[in-house]
Order: sequence, then C-alpha cells, then structure tokens
Amino acid sequence: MARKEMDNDIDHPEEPDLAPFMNLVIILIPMLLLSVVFIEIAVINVTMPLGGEATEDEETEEELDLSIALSTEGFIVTAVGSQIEPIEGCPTQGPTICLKDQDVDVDQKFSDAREQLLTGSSSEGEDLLEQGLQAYDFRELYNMLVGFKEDFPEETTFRLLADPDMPFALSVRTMDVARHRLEEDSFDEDEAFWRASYAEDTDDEGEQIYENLFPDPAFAVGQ
Amino acid sequence: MANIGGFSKEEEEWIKQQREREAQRQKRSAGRGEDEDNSVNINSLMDIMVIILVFLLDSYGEDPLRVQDDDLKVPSSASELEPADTLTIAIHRSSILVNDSTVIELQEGEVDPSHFSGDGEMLIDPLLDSVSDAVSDEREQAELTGDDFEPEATVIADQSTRHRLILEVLYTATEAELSQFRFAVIMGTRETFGGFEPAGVES
Repeated sequence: MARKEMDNDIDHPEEPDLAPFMNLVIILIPMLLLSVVFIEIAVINVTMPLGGEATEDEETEEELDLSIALSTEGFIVTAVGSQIEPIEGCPTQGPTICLKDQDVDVDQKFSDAREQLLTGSSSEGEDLLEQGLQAYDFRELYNMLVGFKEDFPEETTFRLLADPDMPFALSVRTMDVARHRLEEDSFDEDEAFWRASYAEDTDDEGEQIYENLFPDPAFAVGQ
Repeated sequence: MANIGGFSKEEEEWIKQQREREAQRQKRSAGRGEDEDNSVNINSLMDIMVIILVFLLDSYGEDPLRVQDDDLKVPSSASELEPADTLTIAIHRSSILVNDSTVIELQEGEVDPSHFSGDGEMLIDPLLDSVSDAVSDEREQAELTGDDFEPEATVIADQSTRHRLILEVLYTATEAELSQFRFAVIMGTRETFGGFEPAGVES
C-alpha cells in the first residue's frame, strides 16, 4: 500500500515528442531511395600515346602493330604494317570486316540517335544507337583478332582509330570484344559468340584470371 | 460430481482451483493490454528507420561517379575493373565538366571553334586551364598527405559522344600532364550486347 502511494508521488519525466523527427526520417528515406542508382560501375583503362617518342625497334623481331579503325562501313584492320584484305563476303574495295547488313546506313542511325538524345527522347535515341551498333560484325572481328594472337602471343596492345563522328559506345564495344579470349577461337554464329564465356587462365601467383587477347587499347590521333 | 479420469476428489478440487486462477490471470493481463493499446509503441519502427537512414546516407556518399543524368548515360561494357577516386572529366551531351564544375557548353555535341588553339585544333583552351588547375590541386594534396601523385583521370563520357570530341578531351588532358585514363562504364553482360537475353532470363 505504502509502495503504491510512493509510486504515485514520483513525477515521471515526459517522453520526448519524436513525431517531428519521425516525419523528417520518413521524408528522407524515400528521397534517398529515389536518388540511389542501383547500377554497377566499372572502368576501362586506356592510354593516349603522343607522337615523337620513337621506340627502338629490334630489327630481327617483327611487330604486330595492330590497329582497328572504326568507319561507317565496318572495321578496317591494319597489322604488320599493312591493311588486311576484306574477308570473304565483303566488297573487295571495302573495309576489312564490312557491316553485317550493308544496306544499313549507320551514319544516319548515329546522327538520328544524337538528335533524339539531344531533344530529350532518350529511349528512341538509345534504340537507334543500338541498331547502329548491331550492324557491326564483332564476331568476325574476334575471329580475326584470335588469329593475330596466335602469331603474336606476347602482344597486348592495339591502336583504336575512328571516323570523327563514330559514337563512343562503338569504341567501348570494340574494346570489349578485343579484351579477352573466349571459350572458342572461332565462332560461326552470333548467338554462340555473344553467349560464350571467357577462357580462363592462371596468373603468376596461381590465381584464376581471364585469358587476355588485346586488353590494352591506345586511343590514337590521326586517321 | 463424477470422478473424472480416475482423479481423487482432492485432486479434482486442486485442478479446478488452478483453472480458476489461470482464468483470472488471463483476465487481468487482457485488461492491462487494453490500457497499453491506447498508445502505439513506435520504438522498434524508429530503430529500423534510423538504421535504414544511416545505411542510405552511407551509400549515397560512397558513390564516386555519377554515370547517369538527364543528359548523360555512359555506355555498357563487360569490363570488371573497379573505379578509382581520381580527377573526373565528364563529357555530357551539352557540356564538359571537370570535377563536377561546368567548363564548356557544347553546341550539338561539339566544342565551339573559338575555344580551340594550338596545332591541328585539338587543344581546348578552357578545358586545359581547368584540368591544369585541378592537376595542381591534386598534386598539392598529394604532397601534403605524403602520397605519390598519380597523373590519371576518369573520363565519364556519354555513349553518343563523337570520337573526335573524346580525342580532343584526351589530347587536352595529356597537355595538362595527365597520362593514364579510365573510361567509366556501366557493367553489363555480353549477351545483351548481342541483343540476346542474359542466360537464365526467359523472354
């Protein structure tokens, strides 16, 4: 009885009013959730060699000196000092690897894509850009690069050139195709090529890594 | 009363008493519950909210690169190299930014000819000034912290950027003593580059 009276006598401190803080938290959480972008970012390392630094050539060793030029007609590949002849099925006067569908006007596609993107129509612009990229024969480019790698296994670099109006996405996809070797050295079908996994190798420390093809691109100035 | 299940009378009485006591206890505790229901206990909800808020604020501050914006979307790539905290040069569809500060406004994706100088019209003057300032700031910071200065930059370029503009920006950056570049990309899968659904995804 005495204890009950004592309990009643004690002034309990008032609980802090958490409602304003709760309101703030409830507003902040959706705002932060909206601003969080759930995408993974990676990088591609490139170099930009400048002219004037002549390397000492060893006369006895032949160098690959590989360069891939991106044009509106396809890939122009140069190796060991000369342009590679067009592959079977491509026009004799054309690039080394022509477009899959030579009726596609990729220049127009890229130009329309830019226009759409600048006017704010992102999805239409991206679709047009992708259509332009799909016209390029990356499978044949890979098949050719593997052949060079067989002859020059120590070579890892290549120069990337392009027509001035070629989009950055095309350069990135070309660098992707040239980076690692796949499970097979040659592909006859696009689907098998794009679905293939990278061939694996072991580094000096015994760790599993992807087998390299030409992973060190250099952006070159000049045509 | 009949003998239930072979219990003695004393035992039956004891069971009855126990049941009554239990019923009273339940009644009492139900009554207390009614009183407490008048105020909702939000303590556990508050705890969850605060944890989510801290987590979100942390991840918000961690993201070093902004690769998507109203006028920017970097291309997708199969590269798996992780980005580093370096000087950034962003090439949006309408402007070029150095460390998130706008340096030049582009006109239809190209630099105004008045901004060029030097041989072959590759050097973008305002960009050179801005990148040089950023490089000297980074160098000073590296000296203060005792770290080695790495002459590298991350280039965040929109997927539709013209190749010529990329070259002009890289060339200008090399003039400002930068020599290593990283292109920021969104990580993607090879299947999607060929226009196919990724493995395991049914159309």
